[in-house]
Amino acid sequence: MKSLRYYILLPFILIILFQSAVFASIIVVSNASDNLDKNLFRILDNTVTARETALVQQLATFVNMDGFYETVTSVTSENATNMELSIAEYTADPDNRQALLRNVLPVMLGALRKSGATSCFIILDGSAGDPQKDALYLRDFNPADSPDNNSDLLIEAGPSQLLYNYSLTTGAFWTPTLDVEKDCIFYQTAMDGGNTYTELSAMDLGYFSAPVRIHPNDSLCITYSIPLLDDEHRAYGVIGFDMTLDYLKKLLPNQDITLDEYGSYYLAATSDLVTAKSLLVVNDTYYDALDTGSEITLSPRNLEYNIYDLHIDAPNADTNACIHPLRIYSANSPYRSQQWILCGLIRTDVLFASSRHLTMTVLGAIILSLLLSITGTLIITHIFMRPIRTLNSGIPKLSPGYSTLPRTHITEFDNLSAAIEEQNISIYKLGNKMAEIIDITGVSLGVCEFDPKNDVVYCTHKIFEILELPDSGWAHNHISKALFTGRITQYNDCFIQSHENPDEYCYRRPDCADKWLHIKQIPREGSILITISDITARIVEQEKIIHDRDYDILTGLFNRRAFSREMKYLIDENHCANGVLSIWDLDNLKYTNDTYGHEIGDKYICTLSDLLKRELPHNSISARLAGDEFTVFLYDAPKFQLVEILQKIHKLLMNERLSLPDGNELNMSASAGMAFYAEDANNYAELLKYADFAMYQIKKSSKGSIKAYDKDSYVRDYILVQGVGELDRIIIDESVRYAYQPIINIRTGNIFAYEALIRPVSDLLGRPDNLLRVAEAQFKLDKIERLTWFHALKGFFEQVREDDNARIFINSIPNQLLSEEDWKMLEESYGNKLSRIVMEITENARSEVGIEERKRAFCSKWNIPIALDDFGSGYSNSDLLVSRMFHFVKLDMGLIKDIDKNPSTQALVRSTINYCHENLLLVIAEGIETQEEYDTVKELGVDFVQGFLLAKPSFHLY
Amino acid sequence: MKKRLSSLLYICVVCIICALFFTGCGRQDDHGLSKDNPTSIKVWHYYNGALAAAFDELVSAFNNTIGRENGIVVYSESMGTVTDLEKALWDSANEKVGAPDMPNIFQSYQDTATALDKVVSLVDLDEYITEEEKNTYVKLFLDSGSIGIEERWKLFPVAKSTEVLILNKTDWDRFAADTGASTQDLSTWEGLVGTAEKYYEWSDGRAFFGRDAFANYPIIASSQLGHEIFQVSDGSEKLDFDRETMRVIWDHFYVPYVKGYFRHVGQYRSDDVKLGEIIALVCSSSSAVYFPTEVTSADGASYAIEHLVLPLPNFDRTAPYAVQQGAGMAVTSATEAEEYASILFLKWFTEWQQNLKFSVNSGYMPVSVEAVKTENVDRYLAENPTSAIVADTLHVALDENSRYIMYTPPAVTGGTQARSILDSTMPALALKDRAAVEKGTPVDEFLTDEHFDEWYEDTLSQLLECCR
Repeated sequence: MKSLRYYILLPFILIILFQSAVFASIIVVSNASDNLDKNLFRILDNTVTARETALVQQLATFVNMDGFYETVTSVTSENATNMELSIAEYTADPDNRQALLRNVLPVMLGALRKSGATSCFIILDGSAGDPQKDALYLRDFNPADSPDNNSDLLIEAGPSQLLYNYSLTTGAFWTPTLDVEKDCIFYQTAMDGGNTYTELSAMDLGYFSAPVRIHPNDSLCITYSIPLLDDEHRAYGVIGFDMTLDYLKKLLPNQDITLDEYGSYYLAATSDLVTAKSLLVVNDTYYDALDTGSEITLSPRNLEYNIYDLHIDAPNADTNACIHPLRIYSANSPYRSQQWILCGLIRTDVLFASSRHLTMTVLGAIILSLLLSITGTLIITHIFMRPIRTLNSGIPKLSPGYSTLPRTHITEFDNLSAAIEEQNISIYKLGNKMAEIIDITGVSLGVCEFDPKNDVVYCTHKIFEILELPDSGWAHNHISKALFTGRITQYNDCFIQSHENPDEYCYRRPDCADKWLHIKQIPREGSILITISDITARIVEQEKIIHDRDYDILTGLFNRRAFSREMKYLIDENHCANGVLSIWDLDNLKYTNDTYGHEIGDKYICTLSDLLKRELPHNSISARLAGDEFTVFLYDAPKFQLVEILQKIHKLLMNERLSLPDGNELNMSASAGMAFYAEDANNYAELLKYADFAMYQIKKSSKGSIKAYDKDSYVRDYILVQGVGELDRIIIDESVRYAYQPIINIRTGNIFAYEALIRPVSDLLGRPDNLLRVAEAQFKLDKIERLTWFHALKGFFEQVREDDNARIFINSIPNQLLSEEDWKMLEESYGNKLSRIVMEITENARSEVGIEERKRAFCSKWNIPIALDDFGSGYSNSDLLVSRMFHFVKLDMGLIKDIDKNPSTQALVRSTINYCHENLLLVIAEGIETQEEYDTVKELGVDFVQGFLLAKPSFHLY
Repeated sequence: MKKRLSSLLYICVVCIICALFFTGCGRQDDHGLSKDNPTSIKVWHYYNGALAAAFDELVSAFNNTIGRENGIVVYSESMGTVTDLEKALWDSANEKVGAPDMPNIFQSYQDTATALDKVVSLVDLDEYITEEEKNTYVKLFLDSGSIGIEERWKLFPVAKSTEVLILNKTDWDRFAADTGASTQDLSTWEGLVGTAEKYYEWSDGRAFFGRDAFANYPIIASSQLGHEIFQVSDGSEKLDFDRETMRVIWDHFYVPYVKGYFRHVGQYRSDDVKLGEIIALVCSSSSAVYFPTEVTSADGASYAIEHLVLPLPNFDRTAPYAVQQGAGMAVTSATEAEEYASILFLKWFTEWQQNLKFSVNSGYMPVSVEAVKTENVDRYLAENPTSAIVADTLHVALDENSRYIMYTPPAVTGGTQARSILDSTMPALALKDRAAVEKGTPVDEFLTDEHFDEWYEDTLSQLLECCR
């Protein structure tokens, strides 16, 4: 899609370009530049023509000095005649020649002035062999100026006497006579011509010489020399003129051709117009290559204007020579073939500079007009486009409703505007309907549109209702931006963004109830659409759900779940440094509930919860964990402060009295345990366990007090507390196994018996002593006794081979007795095998006599020997040996350990063994772990040995 | 609206730039000079021969360098002699039929310039030349360029000459060897006359001495003897043609002349030396170049001679005086471009290198401070060998310039004519009387007071006539 400007500009510019192209081609076709060049040639030709004419005129003056010649010859012949001599005879005499020179001086002065030459000379031949000729050579350096006297004239050669008479000055190189041997070609040629061309008159024999010097150091000059002929047509001398090159240069000013240094006049001699020999170049600075005497080559370039190409060996030296032959010799002249040419020289680029300049100017004019036309077109297009642009720019600003577009006053565009406005109104109406529909649905949704370029904000009325802003100024779904923003910004601080959802804001105005708003900004092509909906109802509902989830309904405290979450946040995620966790248990709640009813029970509960709410500082959380259990966590304060707070609350609670319906009062009491973070535990679960333990201990003992967790008692009582369930499980599941450790006859090395050792299948109560402790605490040792008898025997007899007569030692628990049924069951199951049993008993102070008697009775019935276990460990001592009846004595492993190193023990053991052997008791050493111990007990006389050294307990006999 | 204005402005600027570009409007130099359209400057002078050649060579050098850079073309034209030049100037100034336009620069003496300034205004050089630039010229030469009542500086010094004494050393040496004559004697007029007498006797009646530009003799000598003939003070002119002084002058020229010790034959004394008529001459330093290298007798026999350049003689026991002459260059009022171009040329021409070159080639004294420094002169001569006589003369002239009181006669009304009277009356009388002596009249008849008085009165009346 392209702008209208494009469609207007493109054709215009194309037309302009086409026009310029036509213009340029016309100029090219018309050959204007070439014509101009030709004109320049013509002008050059004319210039040279004019100069040629003047120069020829000047030179013709010399040629036409007939009068001068005749006067000289007549004076000569007159002088000769006076002396009655022929001219030849007359001039042969030096004195005559001197006299002749004197006589012709006035004539020569006249001729010099008249001719415009720079000198006038007469040279008399005299004696042909002598190069020194009598001569008179007068020079006028400035022929243009002719003062009355002869003060400007010099004698270059001639008799000195003349100086006195004519006030003449000698030239710098003055000589009395002239040496014609060197350089004086003009003399020799004229003389030879006179003598040779006898048919020609002297005036026809005039000869123009190439530049020569009269004296070696004198300036160069061209000469015109005429032979002086006597009656017999013999040359007796020469007269003539010269023109110094310096003067000649003045006659040929370069400025005719060009003012700069690249033009010059040039004189040359040629016979064929192909090669020429330089006579003179006026501008010898630039054209120094053409200095006198040099040879040049010419080639025609434009013969219409006599233009030749002059070859000069120099850079950028393409030079035009406008060549004009000088007619200096008449038809009769024998020298006619020696053509002189006058050339106007100019460097080509200089000659055509103006034409090039013109070409550039025309070209420039074309480009300029092109630029101007394009600029003009741009401006016109710009102006033409303005209303359309205005209209175009009005459209985005067109507000929905009854707004108007700017009028262009161009029928077509204004009709278009009207149509757009109509369309706009219909859209507006449609939009209003939408708003009404939204209203009808009861959705509390307000919409407004901000356009930075627009002064008006479009919005639904609902906006004002939601934000509780006055709606004055609102009409036709829009309001002035200033008015709107003014009202909004007044309450800017009231919008508090929600942490959870950036689109949600709490609209908290002091003068009305808090509202929750959902504000959504939708950027739309330069404008921003904002929707605002009232979501207070939803938020309230949400909050309620959250509350119910986290809070105990009765007390308003956290429930276990919320507390656990908070604790994990505080402790497990390290958001507090220290703290104390306390667990509270209301004493006697069950009793209260049962006695006074749940209403009072609830009151009881609420008393504590109210107290907690009231007394707890902010750095705390509290919860109701279960029916009568509360928990409080205080943190980030010195330990003693925290404890003080808890103690205070506990004390307050203890002082509370709960009024009962019957008028009595109920004392309130709670047990509480505390555990410290992070001294006792550094995770919530453990902390809770310890606090619970502390509370449990109180509960178990005194009740109604508060106690901190004590690690020692925990360790002690833990198993007892925790092992109860496990014990039950073990008993119910009969999760015990028995391992059998061989007892060896030290003399034979045979296995005498196996001791059955209980091995509970449990993590917690895996150790037999723990199991027994718990069982004892729970008064369930009888169950263990039973398990031992049944399982140990079962395992033994199932495994033992037929040929193996080994006995089985069973550890019977003191004070525990199998029931009669059990005894019967054993008898039924094993019968005579029972005699292979050896019952190990451990004696202690609390042994109840009756029970042991019954055991012994059973043993006697089945011939079961009895072994005294753990002899030497404390309870079993030598007194016992004496007072009771045993068959075996098992020395405690405490005696056996390192017995090889301990002589006193050895003595004790020896005496014990001796005693036993004296009383027919067999001695078993338990816990043999080293060879040394073994060797020692063997030496001491032990009968049987048992221990890791010999065999470890194993579930399998073999 | 603002945008529209700025875009219109932009278009205008573009158009102007384009117009300038395409019409090729060249850069206009200061004072209207333009390289593309050179300004022609015409110079008229009266240099001839070697001098003219030296001048033209420098003009050509200027045209090819500074002239080309600045768009100036200088054309020089020699008008022959001072008289010719002055005539041509007056013709042009008076716009005579057929007379060319006034040149931009012309060579002129103070008096001519003063007179011409009243007809065609001359450029006040102070308008173009800074004080700093002026300081590069010898002050004395600058002073001689001030003309008119207001003493405005209108004559540009170019080259100055003074007078020197030159001997035909070859013949002098023979004479001195025989007679013991010393060049010491030639430092005073008295000594010179005595030596001339000695020579006359030694050579069997040949003259010893002659001089060019005779008028300089009475003018300089009279000033030297305390009577400045032409005086100008506060605009009023005064003639001081003192009888006693003139008698001294007479005694030291006319008297030896009629006795045959002094002589003049040709137009210039150099010709007289060349022809062997005399062996000593006083001439302008600028004429030294014409001093011959050989003597040629009337019969054509010739022999080479050497020269000896000596300072101008003075009267005994007087402060040494010498003339300081040489025309300056005046610039006629014209367009600013032409005036500026003229000044530019003259400044260039008198820069010490050019100034020295022209001086050395022409025998003139340079005018720039640098150019008269001996070391510069010697260096130049070492680098550019020139004829011995020119070098010798330059040294002597510069020596005079530093030792002598250099005197330039002031421009006075009828000055040219008065000078011409002084130039001719005594030599003409001497020539005539000597001729009479040679024809037999006793010399004593001419050595009387009356004869002097006759000359004095006649000359004085003539002077009064023209200076009135």
